[in-house]
Amino acid sequence: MFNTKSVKLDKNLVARVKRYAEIAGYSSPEEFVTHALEKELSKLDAAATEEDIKKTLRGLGYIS
Amino acid sequence: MSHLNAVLGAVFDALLAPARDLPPILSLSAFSLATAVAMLLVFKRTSNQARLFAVKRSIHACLFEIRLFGDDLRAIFRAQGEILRRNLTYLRLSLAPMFWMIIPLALVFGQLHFRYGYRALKPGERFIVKATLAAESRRQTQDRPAITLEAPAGLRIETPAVWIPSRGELAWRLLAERAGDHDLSVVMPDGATFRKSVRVSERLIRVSPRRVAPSFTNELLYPAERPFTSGGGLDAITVAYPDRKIDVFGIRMHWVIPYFVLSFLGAFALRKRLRVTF
Amino acid sequence: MPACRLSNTMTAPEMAHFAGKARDVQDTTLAKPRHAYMKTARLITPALLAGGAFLCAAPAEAYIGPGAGFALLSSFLVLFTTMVIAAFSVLLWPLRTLVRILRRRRRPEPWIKRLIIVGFDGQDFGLTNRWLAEGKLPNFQKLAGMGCYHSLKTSHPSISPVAWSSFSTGAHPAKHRIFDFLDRDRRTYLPQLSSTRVGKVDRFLSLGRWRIPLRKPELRLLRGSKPFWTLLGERNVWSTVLRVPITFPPERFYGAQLSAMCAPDLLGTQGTFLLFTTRPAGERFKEGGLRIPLSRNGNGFTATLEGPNNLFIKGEPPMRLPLSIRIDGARKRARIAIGDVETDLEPRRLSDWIQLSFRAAPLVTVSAITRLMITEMDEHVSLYMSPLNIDPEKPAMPISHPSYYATYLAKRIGPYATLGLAEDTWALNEGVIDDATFLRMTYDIDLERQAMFRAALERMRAGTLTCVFDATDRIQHMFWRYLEDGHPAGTNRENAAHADAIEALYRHNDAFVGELIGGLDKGDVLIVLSDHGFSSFRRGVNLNAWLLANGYLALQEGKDGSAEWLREVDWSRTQAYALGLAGLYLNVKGREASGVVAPGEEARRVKTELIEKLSGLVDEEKGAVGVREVFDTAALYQGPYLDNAPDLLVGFNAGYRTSWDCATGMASGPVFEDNLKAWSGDHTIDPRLVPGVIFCNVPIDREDPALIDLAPTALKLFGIQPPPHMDGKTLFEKNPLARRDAGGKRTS
Repeated sequence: MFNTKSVKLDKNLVARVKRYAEIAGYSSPEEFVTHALEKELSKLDAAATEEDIKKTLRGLGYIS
Repeated sequence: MSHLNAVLGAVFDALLAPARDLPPILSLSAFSLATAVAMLLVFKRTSNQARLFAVKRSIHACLFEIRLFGDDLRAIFRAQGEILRRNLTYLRLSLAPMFWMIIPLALVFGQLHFRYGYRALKPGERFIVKATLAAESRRQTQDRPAITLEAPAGLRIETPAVWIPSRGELAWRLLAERAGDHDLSVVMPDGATFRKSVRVSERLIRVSPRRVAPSFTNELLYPAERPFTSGGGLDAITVAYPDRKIDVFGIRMHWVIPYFVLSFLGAFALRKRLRVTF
Repeated sequence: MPACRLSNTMTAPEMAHFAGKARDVQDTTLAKPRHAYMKTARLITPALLAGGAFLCAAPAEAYIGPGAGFALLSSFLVLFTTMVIAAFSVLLWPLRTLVRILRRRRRPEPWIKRLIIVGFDGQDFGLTNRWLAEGKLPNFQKLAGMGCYHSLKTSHPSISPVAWSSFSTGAHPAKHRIFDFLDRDRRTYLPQLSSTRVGKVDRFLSLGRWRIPLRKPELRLLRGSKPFWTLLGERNVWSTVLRVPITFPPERFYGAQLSAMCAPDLLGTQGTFLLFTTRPAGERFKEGGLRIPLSRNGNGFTATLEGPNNLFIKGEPPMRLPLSIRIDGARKRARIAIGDVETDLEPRRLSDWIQLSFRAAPLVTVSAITRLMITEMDEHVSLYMSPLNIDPEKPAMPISHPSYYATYLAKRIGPYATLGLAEDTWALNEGVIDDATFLRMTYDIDLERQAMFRAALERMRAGTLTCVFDATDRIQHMFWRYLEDGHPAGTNRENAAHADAIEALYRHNDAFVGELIGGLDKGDVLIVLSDHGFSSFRRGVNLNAWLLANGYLALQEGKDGSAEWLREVDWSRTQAYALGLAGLYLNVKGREASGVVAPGEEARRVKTELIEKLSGLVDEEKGAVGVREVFDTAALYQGPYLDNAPDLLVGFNAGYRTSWDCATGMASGPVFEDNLKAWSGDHTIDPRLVPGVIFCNVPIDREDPALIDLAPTALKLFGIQPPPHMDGKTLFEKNPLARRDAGGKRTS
């Protein structure tokens, strides 16, 4: 990723993160942490408007 | 040639007329920009723009390659080699437009030099006038020739002539007493008279430090005053006008420097607008 | 006037005095300016020498002006700069090498020097077999003879973004999160692009009408897991990745990459063409394009081109460029002016790339490239403008890694298409451009791709080069109607000039493969593959209409379901819905905003019901099976992103696909209907029906190669053990080159 920043986590937590990331099939602990945080944040983020969505998808050959 | 010079002189005099009392850098800037535009247009017309564009692109690509393959020495040298080759192509492509530009620029450069390179004399200033004998007159005698200088009112001859046999030159020191355009006369032993203008003024005007015998080279080099009408006797009359230094933000410099820099910058700034690749 | 006359006589002391003075004066007053003058002249002597005879007459005074001066100066500057850069690079090289060696975790022992992977998106196994048998693909045949030729198992679902993501990560979709072009927003049931998240700038410095964005908008690639080139880069193996789908925005790794599929156009869409026309505004284009009225102005026509929104002005109005068209009836040409760009067009001829600059703020311009075509200039005048591609030379968005790589390629090969789905399929669908123009556009893009591929290959001494060519996919989508009898969109097949477009393209690719084979070195492994095959798209299936008819989807009171994006659905009574191309989602409680199906037992029950009812669904009108099998996604694969997947993946039969209405979330109309669009071939069907192909210049060790195997294979070839999260298996157990060389010795 282009812009990254480090966050400090408890060592034991990091160990658990690493273990789980591997079991779950993530390619790295970072990917797991990112995904977990994204899931939480997506509940808070504002949803995109229909107009925006239509515009973004315009011209996608398979659909519209 | 002398007709061309006369026309050019008149044109430049007319162009400069409104700026005679302004700081020289202003009018010089205008000339620089005009030069930039004119030369861009000439360059555009006389060069192979498409090929120049392509060559420049390849050079840029090579520069990116040096950065992209920074870990690969061979790739770096390969890109270097290509840059060298493309550069030669670039120079070759620049030759034709360069040739076309030199002719008008030589003429313009002459005109500007006798306005911005020297300044007219100021009232109260002393100066040297020299008459250079033509080669054949010099060969005839090593003795001081019986040549006299006549000065009009407003100029005063302060010293008798000094004879410098090795150069075939006679030199006088004069004092500029009054502002104005004056005509000195150098009278030859046979009574023939050669005239030379001397300008005393505070303004930015054309001055002619040297009036010469007619020849193509002379006229190209000294376009500020018509050559002598009759040949023989004298090669040149020289008036030692002082140098003019152009004041650019308090720094005084030879006019060529701001002219060069400004015309460069002007051409850079305008190249996209005029759609010229160089 | 009293003239002062000076005699030629002077006393000796006077003479001595004046002679000295004169010398002084001469030195200071006369000689110096002459000297300075000469010095200036000497500076430019090299240029003067070039001037020839004229200069001989005037060696001193000529001054080469800005133009030629620049020629010299810039070429010296370039030389000087490169010398400095080269010196710097050479000096830095040992340091960089040292850093690389130190950072290297374990020294890999590569089996090969270069791995070259060429992807022909959508090259079909069946068609390849047919034309190989007919001897029409001699170079593919040759490559097969050198090593291997095999069908290649595609991803599930068999759509390019999914397939190429599995290709690059060696993982199933549940581990890379790309299940379709679209994902749904569980809060709104609206679709969103599955691969990229584009945020908005929320912090500005306000200056009256103007504002300065203080932050770049968020731009994130949502594909999870790690592509093989990132893993190779961690071990110092260089990779060049050209136009592999789902690489926008680009990621950082040891190598270079140019983004592809799902990279937007300058308007932020997936490709919006514009049609400037005097024709009265009838129905606007349903998809893809925008119609802009041309107004008559004297003997010409004018309109305004609206570009991207201007972030620098409050309210973000679009940046505009005036557009005018002047028709020269006598010469049969049209003069187009857009902003300060002017071009002359012959009717019905596609222009080259044209660069347009939108001014956002002083010193800030946004640059686009586009292609134009006057489609008519008789009674009415119409100008087609292809989608505004991000200018690769001055990219307004990151489309490459490193960021200057796109610029580098543009300098090397000229302007090229940067839009993800660059071939304008919608303009052909809508009849704005014809077959020939679409083919010209597609082939031009293909040639651009070949040029960038060659530029990369020539400069790569070790590492991997992967390049995907899209023409196969686009041309099969648009020209399948000519390939078979009775295609609903295949009217006028007999008269079509380009009925053999697909075969012609396979032959075109075959020639390129020939070039590739010819350029192979000893340590090279060449793999030519496709991500999926192709099939006909004759009939559309509206799964939402089926769900509605069967009681799984309910509409709001008084609505008929014809609104897009499921807007008329009553979510409180809806158990399942279809979105995108791949499958069905359950409306799960706690997951979807208005979910009604309880997770666990109930969800399983609904799934089972749907699988039973939909598998083998018959298209009564045609008397054929429309849906072969419906798959429970959770039974297909496991991974951390399974939650994002459609709960059920629908395996359509050959000839069927999600209908256009269904894909845009409409529930009205019949379940089955004819597909009348030029977009007449597709591959989002049961993946078992559309395998891709793989050719390799060395034999592979597997009987059942799959696209997912390529990433671990690439690692293995460079001596790196594939990580456990990869689902694919390597195609080589042993060094294929060592074996080949040994074999070669034996035969010789």
